[in-house]
Amino acid sequence: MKKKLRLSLIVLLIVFSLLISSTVLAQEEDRFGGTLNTAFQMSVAHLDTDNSTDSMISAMMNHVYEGLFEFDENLNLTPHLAASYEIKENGLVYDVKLREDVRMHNGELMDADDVVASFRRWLEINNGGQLVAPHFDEIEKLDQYNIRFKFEEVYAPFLNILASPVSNQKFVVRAEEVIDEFGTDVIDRHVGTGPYKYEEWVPDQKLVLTRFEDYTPSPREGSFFAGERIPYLNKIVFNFIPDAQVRVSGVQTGQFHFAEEVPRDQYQIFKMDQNIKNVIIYPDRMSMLIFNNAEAPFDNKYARQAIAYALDFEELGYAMIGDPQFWRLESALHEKGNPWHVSDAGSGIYGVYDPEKAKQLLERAGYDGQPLVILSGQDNQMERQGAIAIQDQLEKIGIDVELQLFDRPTVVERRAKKEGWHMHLSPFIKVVPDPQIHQGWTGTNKWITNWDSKDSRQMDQIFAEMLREVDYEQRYKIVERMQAELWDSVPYFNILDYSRLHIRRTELKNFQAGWQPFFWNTYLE
Amino acid sequence: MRNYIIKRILLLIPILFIVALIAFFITNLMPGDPVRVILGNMAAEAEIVRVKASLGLDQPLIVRFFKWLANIVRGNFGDSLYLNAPVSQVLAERIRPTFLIAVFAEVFGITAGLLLGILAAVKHRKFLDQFSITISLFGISIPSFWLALILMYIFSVRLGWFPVSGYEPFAEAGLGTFKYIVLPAVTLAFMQAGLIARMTRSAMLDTLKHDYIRTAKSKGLSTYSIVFKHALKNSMLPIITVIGHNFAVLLGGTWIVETIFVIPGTGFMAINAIMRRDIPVIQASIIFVALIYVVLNLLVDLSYAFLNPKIRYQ
Repeated sequence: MKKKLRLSLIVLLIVFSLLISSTVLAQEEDRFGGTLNTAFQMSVAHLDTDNSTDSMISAMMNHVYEGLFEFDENLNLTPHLAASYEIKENGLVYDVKLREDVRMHNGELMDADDVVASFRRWLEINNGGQLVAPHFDEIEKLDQYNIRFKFEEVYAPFLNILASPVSNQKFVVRAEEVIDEFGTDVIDRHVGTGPYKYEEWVPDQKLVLTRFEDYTPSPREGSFFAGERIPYLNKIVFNFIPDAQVRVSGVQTGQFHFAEEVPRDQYQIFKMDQNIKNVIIYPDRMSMLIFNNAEAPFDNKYARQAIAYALDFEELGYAMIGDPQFWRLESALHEKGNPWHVSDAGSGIYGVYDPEKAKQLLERAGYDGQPLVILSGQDNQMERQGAIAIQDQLEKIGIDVELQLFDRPTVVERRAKKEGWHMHLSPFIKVVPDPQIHQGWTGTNKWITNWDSKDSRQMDQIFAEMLREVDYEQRYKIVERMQAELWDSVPYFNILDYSRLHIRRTELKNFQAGWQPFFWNTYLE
Repeated sequence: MRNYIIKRILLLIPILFIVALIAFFITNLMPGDPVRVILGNMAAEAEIVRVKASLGLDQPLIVRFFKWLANIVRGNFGDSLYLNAPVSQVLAERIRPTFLIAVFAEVFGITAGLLLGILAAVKHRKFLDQFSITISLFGISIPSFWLALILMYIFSVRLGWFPVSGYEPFAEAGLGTFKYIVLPAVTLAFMQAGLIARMTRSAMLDTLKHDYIRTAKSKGLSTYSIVFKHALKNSMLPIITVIGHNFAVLLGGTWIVETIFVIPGTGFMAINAIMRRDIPVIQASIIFVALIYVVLNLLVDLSYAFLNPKIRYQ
């Protein structure tokens, strides 16, 4: 009797398990299909990430191309097209084993030849590659699925830069035949390994991607850009819609399932709409005030410090962004949770509103009362309203400010000059996976800062040390010194962190708010 | 007449040369560096220099001007810095949706404008006259970008009759193309209708005072016959002028409307080109609009002779 009962129970359990698994499978199967329509603000010149620093390109082409390494949700570096890696000779050699089962969009299996060809091109023309190149020796194909990266000197941030989402720095693998065909010219035939294939590109209108049926997902658990990517959608259409209200209307009517950067003041309206979900991404952007360190009075660090004391950052937050759920005061270059976050960065100066001290510092710097030019963009709310609010606050302590608001191309051209401006407000991407990346705009004559002094050379030295230090604890201490030096010399500073508002339809499921929008693992209900 | 036409066509050459001259120097002297836009915010200086050289933007302005002039005489406007294609090809592709919208807007505008104008003149100083004047005043005063968003909200968001944006060419979507162009065309037609209605009303009021209209009435002709066969026909000269001149204005209006509704026409192309300093495209757009203006002016002038036998150009 007992035996019969046990047998019946086992049979029942098997039937039940089968039922559940078939239901799960059916549900999984149901997720496949559909065309996702998205609305993005800006079109791009082309789709070749190596040939531009416009990160909108990688936001779309992340679906087509993949990196050897990718970052997960917590910014942990994870092998992606790489199966494993080994760092040898105290950081001079990196041996990388590739996954052997990765099919490319041309039907071939990805191998070391594709990686070597893509890497050489990346090293030559990509913004990230150009950071690596001065320290790099050579890339060697050990066999079909093993490669070796050799450096002339230790270059600690190498792997982080390979996966960096900043300014299209990420190294992605393209088919060797495409590299042979285009060389360093702009690529317009796209053969990658990603879950979606390039189908159609209509400049200024749309980019259409279709599911890559032979996609080989990473065996690791999916988390943001790392691990398993499942292409549930048949098709993804990136539409370029310059007018924010049209993007909003498109989501309201269901024409679009996702819209990038919509007006933050409509947050409550979207909240009340049952078909729409608000998407606030953090970390997203920093509001950076950059000084022209070559132009008096900001060729003196006391004048630069004075501006930090003269500004009420909280008031600026309300003026430039508005609703406090979209911004937060943050003195560190890396957000909380990032392994490089320095919690006490800027203590004693950041967020200390002290107009009297500001006046004293200006006097110490020998400021002669000349009008100070704030150069800023007029098309972006943060830049426009921030510049106006900064002008207002500085004028309150007797500084004569001339506001120059222009469209983007004019701002980009003017700020590249050594004279004609004193301060510039610019949005920076917050997610910087390695502190070395800041070297691109921090140090002697880096980017537009025109910073060339004893302090800038000291900063160069700090970055040089950081470059060679492979131990995390030791490197973190250098990052603390870098942050301290930054808040002492103040060639630029972050006023606050802020987030843009994106919206999506409720039928778009499993959407995760990454630092760049991505649609693998999402499906339409 | 033939000599007059030839003379007028020959006059187009210096006009277009002056336009080309202005277009070239304005676009090259305006602030904003196209290469920095193409390469993005963080591009290295060496990379900027390399791309400038590859695009020929490092040559002296005067050298570039004569090269450019020699090319446009042969119909070659150069290559778009951004779209990676010859400008003439881009222009040819973008012209279709623009003309489709402009022609539909013109048809809507003329029909509505003439009807409102005639109604106002016939019912002078009555309710319908006031109604017509009010509507036409709205048409002239409402900015097209605002009207476009209002129409989008009512007909796309609330009623769901039309898509909020986008475009599919006739070859792909067939009649489905029209659902994309109705709202942009109606937006543009509104202003056109307002202008035509006002001009029709004033011209008709003037004509209806003439003796031959009184004679027609006393002969017992029907109102329809008096209004359409006698009064309207004799009022057409100023109306045609307004229609002709405003067709060019309407083409200019597509710049805003196409941008809002994301119609890939010449207007959207030109606005995008300005935003990113795609100099060859901006130059071609200016010359294209100028060409439309001068050709339409010529056609309007020539139509006078056709409509009014009293006008003799010889």
